[in-house]
Amino acid sequence: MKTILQFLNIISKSTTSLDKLVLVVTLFYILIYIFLQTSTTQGNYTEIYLDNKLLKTLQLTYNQKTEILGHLGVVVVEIDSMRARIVEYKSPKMIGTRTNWISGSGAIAACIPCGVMVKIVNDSFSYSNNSEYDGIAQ
Amino acid sequence: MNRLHSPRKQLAISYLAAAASCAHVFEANLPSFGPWFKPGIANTFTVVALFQLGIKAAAQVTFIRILVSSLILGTIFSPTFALSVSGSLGAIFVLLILSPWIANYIFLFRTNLEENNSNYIKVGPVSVSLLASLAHITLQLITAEWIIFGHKGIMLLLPWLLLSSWITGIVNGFVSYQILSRNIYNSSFHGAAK
Amino acid sequence: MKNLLKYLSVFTLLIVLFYIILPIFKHNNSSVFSKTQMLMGTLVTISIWGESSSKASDTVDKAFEEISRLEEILSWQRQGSEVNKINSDSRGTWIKISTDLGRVIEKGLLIEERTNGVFSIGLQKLTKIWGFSQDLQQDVPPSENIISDWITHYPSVNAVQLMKNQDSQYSISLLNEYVALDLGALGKGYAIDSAIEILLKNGIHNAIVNAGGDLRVIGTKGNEQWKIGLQNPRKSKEIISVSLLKNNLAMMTSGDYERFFVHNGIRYHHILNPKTGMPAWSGLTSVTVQGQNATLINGLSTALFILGKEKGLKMLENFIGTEALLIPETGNPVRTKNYIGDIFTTYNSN
Repeated sequence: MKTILQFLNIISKSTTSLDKLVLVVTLFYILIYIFLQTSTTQGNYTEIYLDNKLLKTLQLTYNQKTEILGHLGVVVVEIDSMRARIVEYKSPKMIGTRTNWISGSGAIAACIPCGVMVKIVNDSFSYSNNSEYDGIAQ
Repeated sequence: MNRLHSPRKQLAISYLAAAASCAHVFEANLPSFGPWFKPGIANTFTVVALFQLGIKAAAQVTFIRILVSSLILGTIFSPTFALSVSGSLGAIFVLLILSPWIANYIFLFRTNLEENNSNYIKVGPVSVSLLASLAHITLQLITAEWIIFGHKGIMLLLPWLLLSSWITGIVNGFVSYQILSRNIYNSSFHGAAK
Repeated sequence: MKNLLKYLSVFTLLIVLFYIILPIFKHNNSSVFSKTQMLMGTLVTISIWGESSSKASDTVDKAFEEISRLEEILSWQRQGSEVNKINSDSRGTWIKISTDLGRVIEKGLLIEERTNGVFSIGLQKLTKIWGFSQDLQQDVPPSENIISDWITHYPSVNAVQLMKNQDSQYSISLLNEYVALDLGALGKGYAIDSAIEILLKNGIHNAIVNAGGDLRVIGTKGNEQWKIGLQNPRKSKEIISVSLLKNNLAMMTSGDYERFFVHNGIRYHHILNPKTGMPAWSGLTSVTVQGQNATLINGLSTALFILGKEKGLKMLENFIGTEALLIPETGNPVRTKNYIGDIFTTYNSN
């Protein structure tokens, strides 16, 4: 505690008033930025659905692999550095491989014939639409 | 007034550039604290150059440092080099913007501030170093996203890296303040400044 | 000089501050609730604007229930679906069917009539020969004997007959064993229309129902229109056209890139021409049709794809209020006069 105070004293001596203002303002902005990012763009966790029923939820903060028994065999869901994906699987309707890594609240990867869907979810924002488009026609 | 003239100024620039290169190479050999975390000690010499010799000298010190240290480390024209250059361009740009507000460094250390009130509304080495390091990491990440990695996930790291460079920026600024304060009377640079 | 630099830097700092502050205010404009489920062999997303999340969520669930109910009726790939039962029933007799199925077949027969049988809803056996719509796609085309056998036996007229009595009870009759119902070209549209009906019944007037890229919008997104991007048929990540839609409009696309396999350099896709028994190679890669009724334009997009550019556009004139965008394999995209959506000038079919 005493050393912290000493440190603060030294910092305070070696800065001008404008310096101190700059320090506080930049820290303030960085903290707001961190708050906004953690609460919006970055999903907190992924939900894994089998046949439209919630099977399990996984934290995005831990890198991990999970196996799910789908209709056509085992499907592997991989989570790495805040992103998720369904590991490649031979199937003509495999939306999962096309979508590749997904990140950001509301993003979805799916293997339709396996009946497996992976979705990135955020608790604080049930209204989620980060995409530029409201829909993609294909 | 605090500007030196050649060839003394050039000698000072080369001293600082040499010291910065040493710091850069030393830092590259340190055990890694994580893929994006670097203390950036070398930047302290850029800040010193800015306060003692002006913006031009600061830019020269930075680019000599990048060139020399990447030659030594063998990373020249590699992706790491591109990241280094883009980050430093951002830092130099911030120094350029701040240069009209830079405190007169000789008066900076006078304890009796009433003598020179103008330093109240001027920036010292701490905030210069801080703002430069924030710009450095931001530009570095943007470059990494566009040129090297090509995916958007990396920008998610930005706020956390900003926080870590907020800390290292302040520490480095404090180190430059110490260097400046020791240089003030005993350095050979100051013959012309007085 | 020093003063100029000072003013310049104040200006720069202000701009930087502005851009730092901007995103804080920008976050509140997304009040779109959306939910996705796997239905009808694709991802179905329903988005609702301007409702409380609890009401939106409840209504969306009802709409999903409706879609899965219809899937149990219309999909031949579902064991025990109504279509499947009809397909395994005896031929030449009249079978009573549900109103939902009757309505879909009615629309299908209308298009069949206007296209002289190039579009048909009785092609389930042919689809099965080609192995499309199965979970694991075969990658070799079937032998010519099997296809020519199918063509000689498939009736050119009255393959599927529909009757409606005075109580609005529909009955259906399939002509022979080679005719079996495949409503793949219409079912999605009908499910979308029904889901929209459920939304409207529950007091929701601003929404999109998007079933794997085929969609219908109602209302608007506040002061904005719904912004729909059209995917490049050859590059799945690229958008080639943007449509701003509002007030009840459906937009359905058929393309050769949805389900296909490549054998000896030839692309075999899932849109089959009953006259040849082969995939429809009409020089088009994608057809998008806009109109009010999703069921109808779903069928029309397939029919247009089979007919090709000239014949297709002529056929479309029979249907008032429908517009189309055709993307050929080579050359520039073609669109009808009132089609909503600009094509990016950077689009290039190569």
